Amino acid sequence: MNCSELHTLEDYLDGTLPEEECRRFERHLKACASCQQAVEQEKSLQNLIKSQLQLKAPPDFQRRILKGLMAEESPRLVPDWLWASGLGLVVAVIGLLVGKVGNQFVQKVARGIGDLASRTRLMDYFDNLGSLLQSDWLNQLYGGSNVLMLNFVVAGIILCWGLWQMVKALRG
Amino acid sequence: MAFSDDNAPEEELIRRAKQGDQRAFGQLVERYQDQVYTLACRTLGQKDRAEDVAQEAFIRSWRAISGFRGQSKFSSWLYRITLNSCFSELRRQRRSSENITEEELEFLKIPNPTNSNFVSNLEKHDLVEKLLKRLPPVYRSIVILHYLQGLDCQEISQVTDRPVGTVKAYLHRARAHLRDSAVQLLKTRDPNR
Repeated sequence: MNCSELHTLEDYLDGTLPEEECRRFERHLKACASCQQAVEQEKSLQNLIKSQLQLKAPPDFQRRILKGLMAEESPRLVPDWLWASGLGLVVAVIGLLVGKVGNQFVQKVARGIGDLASRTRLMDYFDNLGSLLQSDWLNQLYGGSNVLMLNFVVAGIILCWGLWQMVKALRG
Repeated sequence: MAFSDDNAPEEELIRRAKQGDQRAFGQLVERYQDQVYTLACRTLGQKDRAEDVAQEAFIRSWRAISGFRGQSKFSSWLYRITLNSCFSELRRQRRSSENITEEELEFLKIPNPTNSNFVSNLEKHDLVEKLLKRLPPVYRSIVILHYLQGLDCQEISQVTDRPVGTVKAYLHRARAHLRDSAVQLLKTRDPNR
């Protein structure tokens, strides 16, 4: 088709043409045989699609869905991302409290475990991890315990996962 | 006065479904089952899996309805979940639009001496369905959302999570494809035309 109004025609068929532009195009349409033909084709296509492609759901479709729902729990009032973020936060707070209040106790336990773990070089791993992640403010926060440092890392991972779920939920 | 679910406004049914009322959700299923089933069937291009996928879409929407905030129409939200289920299924099958069967291709190529017009040919042989199947799934879904469900480009953009410009481009290409295929088909069937 050679008409210079081709782009306007497409917008007209899409129903996205502004009202004033639409009126102007309809005036053009009365005088343009190729646009008229295109509009007729579009109408035929639309009618065909409506008459041939619309389907009816199978007769017992709704009943089977309802049966499926019976096996489901009620929709969750608290979404997954909130659970995950909350869990991450709780783990982080527990880590903080334990770090402040019970650091010595944890270190005793850690030393006990360390005696056991020294044979398997497990403590070397924790020491290396601690020296990698250590900083002044972190040191104050977790009281120098590598076990607690690990606690914060785990809490951070859960928190990030929860936030990621939240982003996905908001986008979805 | 007895409360009738049949006539309940959609917003009321959604509110009750959010609170766990399965009967209210059942009413929403009844209202949208044909549209969701059609969208699934036409996007997948196969009826045998469409029923399961449409069913899965409703179950997923039941699980997620507490997160529906009414920022879009309920139907758009439901179509979006349906399309996500369809594309998951297609990925699972690794089935693409190129996988149109040889039989279908042959059917489109067979010259037909009958000198009837294109529209009646399409009607007689269900060719619209076959032409639609030759499009990639995302194009099929846009055609169905536009022509059957009556969504405009803005709404389709929300459902498919694609920019409006992309939706318009896809719709134009799909329309051109259907038109060109139709003309080509007519020529094949009736070379003197």
